[in-house]
Amino acid sequence: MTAAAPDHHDRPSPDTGGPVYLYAVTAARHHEDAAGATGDAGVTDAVGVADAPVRAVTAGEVTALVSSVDPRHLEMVGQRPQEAELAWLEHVARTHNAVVESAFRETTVLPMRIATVHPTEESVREFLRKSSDAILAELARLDGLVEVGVKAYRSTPPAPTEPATAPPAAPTRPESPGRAYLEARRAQRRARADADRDAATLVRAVRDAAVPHAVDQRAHRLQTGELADGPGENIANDAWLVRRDALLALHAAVTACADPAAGRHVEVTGPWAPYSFVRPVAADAG
Amino acid sequence: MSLFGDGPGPAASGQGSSANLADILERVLDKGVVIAGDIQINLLDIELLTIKLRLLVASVDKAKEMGIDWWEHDPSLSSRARPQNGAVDGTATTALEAENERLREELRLLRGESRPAELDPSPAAPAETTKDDPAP
Repeated sequence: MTAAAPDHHDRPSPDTGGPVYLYAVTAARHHEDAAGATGDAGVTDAVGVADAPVRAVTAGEVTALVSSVDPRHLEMVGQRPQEAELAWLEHVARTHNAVVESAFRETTVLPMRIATVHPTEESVREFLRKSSDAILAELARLDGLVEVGVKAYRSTPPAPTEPATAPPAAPTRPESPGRAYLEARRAQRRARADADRDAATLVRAVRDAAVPHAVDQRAHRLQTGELADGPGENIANDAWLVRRDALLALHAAVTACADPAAGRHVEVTGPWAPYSFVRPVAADAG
Repeated sequence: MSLFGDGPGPAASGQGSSANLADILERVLDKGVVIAGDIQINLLDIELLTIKLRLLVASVDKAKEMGIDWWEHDPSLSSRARPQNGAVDGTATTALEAENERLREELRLLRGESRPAELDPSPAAPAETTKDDPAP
């Protein structure tokens, strides 16, 4: 509410001298010459972990997005009931991504991994100074590129002709020894093989459709468990590195592979900052 | 769910609050820049804070269910594991796997668990038949 007049580059820094949470690094644009352009609006508006304001820390040609962390918050970690920890984790994860995204809308960014905490703002500056070349090179490599998530799912169609995902016939049932058991196993194996072949076909089709529009690809681990709320079993979970102007073409190409009535689903997420494609940033040797 | 539907430009991304938590977690936990090498700052402080937070992550059941495995790729925890120039493709070495196993064991201990079966999902369906009687 108290609009801390977004002046020029030297706005009042809420640096508390304590630890800072590092979200992303970008090239330092709009900084010296930000006379009229409030081009960094996305940066200054963002709200960080525990509602701390996000600020830009610049050293030379690179800028880090940080916010102060209350050390007490860090000390609480691991001390609370599981639900509280999970809620907190979700908050941090979503906030982290939101801050990254706010910058990513304006420019190329390197998203940091979650919970990258520096002891002081000065140590962030030092990191920027030492890693400046590596950061700029990585930014140049990823310039104009975004990450898109493409997930494929299979679900059992409404009228299942084959019990593809049926549980194994209870082998301990006394009246079905020997032959019946083998019979059931065979049928089950056949059904599973068919389903697997279908799944593999879909995965291949989706990847073939994406390749012409993409620069790079990473296969993520398949999503399972409680958080995996997709339309069926996740059979491919890929990240694609794509030129911004190829987004729609890729989207159209992969979604064309879907056939929900046949239990074949494709879900597209993003565009994301290129989380899956950044390389570790090492300090310049010397 | 798709963010491409109505707003073509990436400017219309804004997936922040609506994005699937699983999608966010697998990116922010497992991916993103990790700071490698000697950067001449107080690494110990960073590691203490960072590792503490990430241990929390590993202890969260839902992250575990998702198979989040950041520790496999985190140089602050397994510095020898990562190739120097950061090739990201997971050509897992046996050293890496051994390291992982050790770290997983530590995590299990930290979580106060003693059952090693959990992180190693095995296709355990019909094999159960032979195990009916509880052998001591």
